[in-house]
Amino acid sequence: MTSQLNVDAIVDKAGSGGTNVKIGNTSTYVSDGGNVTQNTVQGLAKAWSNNNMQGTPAFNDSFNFSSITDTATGRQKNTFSNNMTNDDYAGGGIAPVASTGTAYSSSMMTEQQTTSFFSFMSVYVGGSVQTIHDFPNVGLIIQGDLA
Amino acid sequence: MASVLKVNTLTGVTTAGSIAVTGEGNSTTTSLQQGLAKAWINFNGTGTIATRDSLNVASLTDHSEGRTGINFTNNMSNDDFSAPVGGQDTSTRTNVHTSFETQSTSMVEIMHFEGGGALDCNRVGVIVAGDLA
Repeated sequence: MTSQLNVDAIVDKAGSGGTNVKIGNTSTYVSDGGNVTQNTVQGLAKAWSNNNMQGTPAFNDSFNFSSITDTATGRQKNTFSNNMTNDDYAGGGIAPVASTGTAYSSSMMTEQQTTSFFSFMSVYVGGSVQTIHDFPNVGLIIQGDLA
Repeated sequence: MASVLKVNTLTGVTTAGSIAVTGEGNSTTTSLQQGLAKAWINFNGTGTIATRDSLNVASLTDHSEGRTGINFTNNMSNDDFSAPVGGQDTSTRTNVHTSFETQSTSMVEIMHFEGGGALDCNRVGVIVAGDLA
């Protein structure tokens, strides 16, 4: 039998917040426009980070990443706290315009992705020259299947 | 004692497509629907383009070298959504850039450049955040 719960807010049993609420991985939600339903857990970001690549690498903030490995200038590896099911997830990101040089565009490229880590390279392009660069705040989002 | 509530669909009372969840800091609420990715995909853009894994993607269209259309199963409400991307370079490491080109309620087009020209990319990740229809 199909069940439906109409609520305006979800919080934990104690009523102090939502941090202890668990959602089953087959649950669906009604879309913003109210016309369709989609899987809730599939829509959740499984990891995200804002990396400071300069100096000693550090997360400005992050979710489900345990550590950073600085592999070279402009290249870092983020290790997951909880691993992904497979390496078929989507990783998207953005790098800011470099504060040095004449930068027309910046981008983050995927280097390697496995169930336990995601590594990337960030660059900026000025004219016809591409420079691999340590940015102070590279944003990264991972969507896919958590183990 | 932990409590378990089993339901198949979450629907807002006041507005069907708006459920509030308490933020991590316990001081504000945020929209559950607005915080969810509405589509994501990992695809191989070389040879016969193919989806590795995805959410809310019906098909891919090979528009031209380095240019791929991602067609949604459930459309977006408007064309104002955000689509961060990540492309894996081949071996050139010269002037590599992946971006989204055009977007509509039913699709988003991705383009990958290397060495000053469009090039099919082996591994592209795309995430769509915005308003689902």
